[in-house]
Order: sequence, then C-alpha cells, then structure tokens
Amino acid sequence: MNNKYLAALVCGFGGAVLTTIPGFQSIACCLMAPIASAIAVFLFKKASPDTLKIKTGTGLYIGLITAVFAALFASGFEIIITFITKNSDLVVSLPQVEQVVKDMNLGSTADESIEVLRQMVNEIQSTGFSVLYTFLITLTNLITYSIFGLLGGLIGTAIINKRSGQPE
Amino acid sequence: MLVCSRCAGIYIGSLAAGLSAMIFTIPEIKIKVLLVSSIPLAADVLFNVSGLYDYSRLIAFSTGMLLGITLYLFLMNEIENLFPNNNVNK
Repeated sequence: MNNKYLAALVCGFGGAVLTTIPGFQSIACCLMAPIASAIAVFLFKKASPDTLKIKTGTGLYIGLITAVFAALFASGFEIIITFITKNSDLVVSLPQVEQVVKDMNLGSTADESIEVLRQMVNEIQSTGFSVLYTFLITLTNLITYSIFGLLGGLIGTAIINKRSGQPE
Repeated sequence: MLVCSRCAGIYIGSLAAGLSAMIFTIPEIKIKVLLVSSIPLAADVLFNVSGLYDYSRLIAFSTGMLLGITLYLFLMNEIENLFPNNNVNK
C-alpha cells in the first residue's frame, strides 16, 4: 500500500478508536482530527526518507484522507455501540434538542424536524438502528473531520518542513 | 449534529475552500477581505433580528458560505506564513 494511505489509515483508525471514549467525542473533530492528520504527515515523512520537503498539496491530501478514514471508522464504532446499547447521545439530548429547535422559531419546519428526531430516537430505542441516524452521523463526521483534517495536514506539513529546513 | 443553514454554509464553504486548496495555490487573504466578507452575514443577522425581512435559508446559507470560504483560506494562509520555510510549490 502507498505510504500516504498507510499512514492515513493507521492514524485515522487510531483517532476513531479514541472517539469511543466517553466525553472525548465532543472534542474529536476539533482536536483529534487535526492531531491525527498531522501525525499521519509525520509518519509519511518517516516512511519516505528520500523526501526532503513535503508539498503543501500532499500534506493537505494526507490530512484529508486521514480525516475520511477517521470519520468512517468513528461512524462505524458509533453505529455498533448504538446497536448494542440501544442508546446514543441523540436519545439522551432529545429534550434539549427539542427546546433548541422550538426556540429557533422556525414554524412548521420545527415541528417536522422534531417529528423526524423523535422517529430516529424511537427506532434506536426499539431496534438499535436507524438508517437516517446512520446517514446523518456519517455525513456530519465526514464534513467536520475533513475540515479540521485538512488544517491538521497543513500544520503538520508546515512544522515538518520547518524542522527539515533544507531547500528542496 | 444539528446546525442551522448559516452554520451549514460556513462548514460547506470551509470544506470547499480546503478541497480547492489541494489543487490551487492558497491565495493571500488579508484581514480586510475577511472583515468585508463577514459584512453580508452580519447584515443578514441584523436585518432578521430587526424584522426587516423574514429568515431565508438560502440567504443565510450563502452568506455563511462566503464567510466560511474566506475564513478558512485566511486561516490556511496564516498557518503557512507562520512557518517561513514552508514555501513549497504544489
């Protein structure tokens, strides 16, 4: 396997495992994704000793694929845990979410949103699985992790290139 | 994760800017550009709160997206400038 993908897979999986720790999920996208991406760039550099400097585009790409792997694995873990426990953060926070949606004064849209949320929670509590919940979790993880993963890749590349110091 | 149209715009704009930065050179975004790009979003919020017009998801999304793009590019530009030895071509 290409060094880029191997580094991204290792760091993405490691980061995703960390998201299963209770309480860690809330800082997963803004802290875990960039750190995992930066480490992936570092691993890529270690695995490619001939590369004196990493191109910005390459660093961003490694950051992105690390984030995508992390998002897919984290979503998978979340779905499995939800299936086993028949419980999730959404079930716990539904009353607060309902209140927030009501406070937004969205009219009939708010009622429809709350109805969809209740349906998801009912499915999770009864079968442990909801197609819509799975789709939403995966999509939001992919978007947020990718945003921060790209930044992590850029930061990692910048730090490593500064440390190596030599011109290309 | 539940976010409003404006926040969704910021997220999608940031992602689009990040993805395009992989292909194109990151342009230099000055703080003035960032401030100017935040004016439409601020105006939309102000007009909504004051009741000048009703909340429009399309306007909220597009103003959020504009800010998301410039904010993300500004951030990337600042990170690159933070490390002067990092001037490597795409």
